[in-house]
Amino acid sequence: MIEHDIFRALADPTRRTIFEKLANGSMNATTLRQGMEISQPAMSQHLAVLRAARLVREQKEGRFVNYEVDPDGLALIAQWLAKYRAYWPARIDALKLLLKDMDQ
Amino acid sequence: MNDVKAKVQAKVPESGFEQRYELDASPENVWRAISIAEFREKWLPREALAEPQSLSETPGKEIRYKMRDDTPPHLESTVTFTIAPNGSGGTSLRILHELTGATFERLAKTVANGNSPPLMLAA
Repeated sequence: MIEHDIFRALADPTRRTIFEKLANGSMNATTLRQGMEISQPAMSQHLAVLRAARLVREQKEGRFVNYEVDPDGLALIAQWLAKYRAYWPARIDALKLLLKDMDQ
Repeated sequence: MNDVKAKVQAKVPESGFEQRYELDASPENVWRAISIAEFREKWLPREALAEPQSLSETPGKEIRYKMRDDTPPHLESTVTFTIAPNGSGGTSLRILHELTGATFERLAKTVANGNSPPLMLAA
């Protein structure tokens, strides 16, 4: 099942980092590797898993290959889920501050 | 601990998720913080909501808002805040956040139209 592939693909922290980088804009594999301690073959493998789960797609421009978030629905849903799962804990911290103020 | 909770969790569709928090504040104060705009905007930015009015509310218990993602394609969703006293003077808060039906169906259709069997390709 595709949805299962998506969550399996994103269960790996390195792949999650790659996916989040690409969520900010398309990139080639070399740029993607910057700031990450990861070999080129390992990067290729992670990208293959992300592509198989249809989270990421390849775009060829001449000799260059760029990677980007696959604009189809399930990739968008995965992106949305990742964003808002991380969104609420920060909002709740702000809510706790407000609740403290309300007590005074 | 109880079956009801497990059932609720199992029902949450893949197009959404649930989170639970324990707060020290009383249910009365938490209710004011989630239902009165003046307070709400201090922790949940006005821009996060598609409309400032709630979709529905059960005073003191549950309130739902429509949200709109601030980045394209601006997916719309519904967030439900449910509160209950937690037995030690504080409040249990449940957040149920789901993509709205129309958004989810539109996306699912896009997938159905462009579906191909996933392949493992060596890069």
